[in-house]
Amino acid sequence: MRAATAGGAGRGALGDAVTVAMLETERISKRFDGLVAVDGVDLAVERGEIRGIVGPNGAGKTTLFNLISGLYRVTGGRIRMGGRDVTDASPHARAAAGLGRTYQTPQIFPELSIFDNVAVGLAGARRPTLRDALVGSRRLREDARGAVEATLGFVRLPVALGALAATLSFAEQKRLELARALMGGPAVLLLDEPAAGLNRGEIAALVELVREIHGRGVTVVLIEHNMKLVMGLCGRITVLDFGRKIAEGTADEVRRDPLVVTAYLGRSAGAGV
Amino acid sequence: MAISWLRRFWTPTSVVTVVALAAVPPLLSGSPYHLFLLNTIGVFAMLALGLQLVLGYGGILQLGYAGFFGLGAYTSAILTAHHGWPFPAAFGAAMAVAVAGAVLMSPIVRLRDVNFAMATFVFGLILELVYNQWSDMTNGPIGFRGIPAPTLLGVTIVEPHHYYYLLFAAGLAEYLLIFRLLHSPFGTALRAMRENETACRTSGVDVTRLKVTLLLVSSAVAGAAGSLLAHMNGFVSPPTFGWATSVAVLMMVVLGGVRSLPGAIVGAAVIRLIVEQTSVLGQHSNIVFGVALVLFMAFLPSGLAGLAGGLCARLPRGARVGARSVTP
Repeated sequence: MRAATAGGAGRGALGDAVTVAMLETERISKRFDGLVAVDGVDLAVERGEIRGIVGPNGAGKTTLFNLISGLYRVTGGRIRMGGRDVTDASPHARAAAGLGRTYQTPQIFPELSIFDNVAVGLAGARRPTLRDALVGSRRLREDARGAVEATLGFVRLPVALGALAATLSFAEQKRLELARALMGGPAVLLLDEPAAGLNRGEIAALVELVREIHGRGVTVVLIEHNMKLVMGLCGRITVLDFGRKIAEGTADEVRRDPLVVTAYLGRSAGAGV
Repeated sequence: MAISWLRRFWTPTSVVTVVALAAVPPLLSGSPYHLFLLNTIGVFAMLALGLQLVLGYGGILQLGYAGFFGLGAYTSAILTAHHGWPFPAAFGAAMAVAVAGAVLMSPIVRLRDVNFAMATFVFGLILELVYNQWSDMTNGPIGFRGIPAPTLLGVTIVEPHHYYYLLFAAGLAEYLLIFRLLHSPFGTALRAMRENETACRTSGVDVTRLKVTLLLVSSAVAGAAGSLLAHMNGFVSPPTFGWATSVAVLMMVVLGGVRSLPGAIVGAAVIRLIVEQTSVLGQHSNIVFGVALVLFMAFLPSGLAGLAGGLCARLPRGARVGARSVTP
């Protein structure tokens, strides 16, 4: 795995080093034909955080991820990574700048081998060019193979490299997707409901894995419905409702926030808090 | 030590096939017609391989492919017949002009699915229109005559069995190029794009650039095939580079089997044979064509390559020589 690339610290206007948020959104909005899915959300994730994004269904969490990763264009607001404005950057440019992500339902390449699925993630670190394809060195290929094997080992996916990805179980597909995201050497990793559809044992393994990824210097932002997981894993939690940020803080602060209680916890009584 | 992709290419089947193809001309030396037919198949196999790369592996529906075939043919014809260029230079220029044409077309990669396919179709129609209307250059619908036989290293290639080897070398080079591409990170990104474009983009793949590169490479190949066709026949005319040919090449790919390089070659052979056999019907041959396509889509959706793969799977394990797919 490549070390984190996008710098988390920059220089302030006065020349002294100030902390620049690893990932920052400034009043970003997304409107779909009258429906406001994300409404002026400010988010500042510091380097080394594990940030939780929670909220009821339809709160705009996944839309927020799609805006951050560049799949959607913002209707308003700015997005910065390590101080660099990426609002108008394409998804692949953001990936190259150190942004990795997974999806709610695993987005894999079903008819491709496990190896190829993971190797695609290398594009974030090194763009596949025609020149490499024609005169690419043997070294490059061997490096790729080593990196794929190491990453699959890291996410604990002990499967045959040549097998088709479609043959994997749901939980394995999620880990495959995670491996692909890690191949780009992300500085910031967006995980969209990583625990959804996993059993208790798999969730425990996932928590362990996220901690290890975090331990390697990756800043993690995760959307999750499993409150126990969020409360246990995330230092700070951001709560969305109807596209707006209604609360932000530590697990305790968020839990006590009256707005959160009515908007979120009140509606799903006994959500494990 | 052999390079890994080359080692993958040299299966017992591919060795036998290459040797057999190289041995064909002496066997057919008494039958110029059959050799001519075979050479025509060779040109179209080159086209089908190029389209296979774009359509089969990249999942991009390029419906104006024959237009680029024409760019190569007319460029080579005009430069050799009117400007006295030697064949190798004209051949290179044919590829370059076809690539330039693809550069002109490249902004449409931002269109999606059907819109993209329609735009390529229209681009092909425009090129066909140019071949018909720009009479000063192309001699219009009457056709361009007097394209000289190619001279390579001091040898003028006139006889069909000599021309066969020129096509054989070009076709093999193209096959190896595409094979190599497919077994590189570039090829992985290509196949991933076909499977899931969204995941591909957020994994760091510049799909726009990938699509443009695909169009350029496939056009270069079409330009080369066009040049070889022009010098083989000594005569070219617009219908050869029109939408009907684009559809025919598409059929070669579909019939042979999407995502199979050998399939594209077999598809080219079958379609060309059908064209030859039904040529007495004139315009009505399209009916035979249409019916054949519908039947194939209904009964052989994965093409002849799929059929061969299915038969191989039924053989006992030991007999399955070289029955591996192109993708690792």
